[in-house]
Amino acid sequence: MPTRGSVAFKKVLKMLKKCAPGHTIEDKTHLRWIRHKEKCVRVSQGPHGAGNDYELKIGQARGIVTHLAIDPDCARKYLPQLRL
Amino acid sequence: MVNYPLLFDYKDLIAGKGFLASVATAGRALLREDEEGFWMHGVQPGGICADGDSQKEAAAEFRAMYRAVLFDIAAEAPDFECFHDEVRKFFEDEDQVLAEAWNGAVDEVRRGGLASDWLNKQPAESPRSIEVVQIALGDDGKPSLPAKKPEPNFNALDGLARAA
Repeated sequence: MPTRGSVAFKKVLKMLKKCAPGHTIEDKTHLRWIRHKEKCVRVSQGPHGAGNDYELKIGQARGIVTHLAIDPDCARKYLPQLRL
Repeated sequence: MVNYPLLFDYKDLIAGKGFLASVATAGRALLREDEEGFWMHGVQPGGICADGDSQKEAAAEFRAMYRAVLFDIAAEAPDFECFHDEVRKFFEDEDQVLAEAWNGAVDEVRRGGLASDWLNKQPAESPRSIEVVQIALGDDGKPSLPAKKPEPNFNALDGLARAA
């Protein structure tokens, strides 16, 4: 399988901290749920035991920004590769 | 980048804490093709997406992601009522940005600008809905006297169509 783009989840966390203050992140049984202002995005949790130290597929990172209605200009500062 | 407007129909039997539930969803998704491959994004329900090297692979990954959300909800819901409410909340969380892109893609299909012979066509206005029905359990915990009488026509294969 060709490698699709990815971003470090830690960078996504930094973007969320700056651009979506008040967001919450909860690890469920299968997925990681990220909530902000009544909206919720579910992304993969990464390998078992990885914690936040894993790569998130770029489409999922883009989905976080669009579905949570995060200001694209703010998100681009931290994740310039997203092409929002 | 090319956007394909999709309609999907999924039906699942989900086990929760002391209950069984049938979940039938008629939803919308946007399939995006770019230089990195294919992405299938939920429009309604929103907040989920999956990728693949082909349309079918992305669709299969999306299906698995959708099912994982139902499993997550079932794992935490203390009873059927909570499960029902959370699943409805999931379905109603539409992605408004992608909904605009979806409508634009439907217009493109109608102008004849999008060819995709791998999918059947279905009217874009087809009703989208979710139905969450409890399958009642007897005292022994086995399904009996269902809240909705089971019939073979409950069984359904997954459906995927191009909105047109």
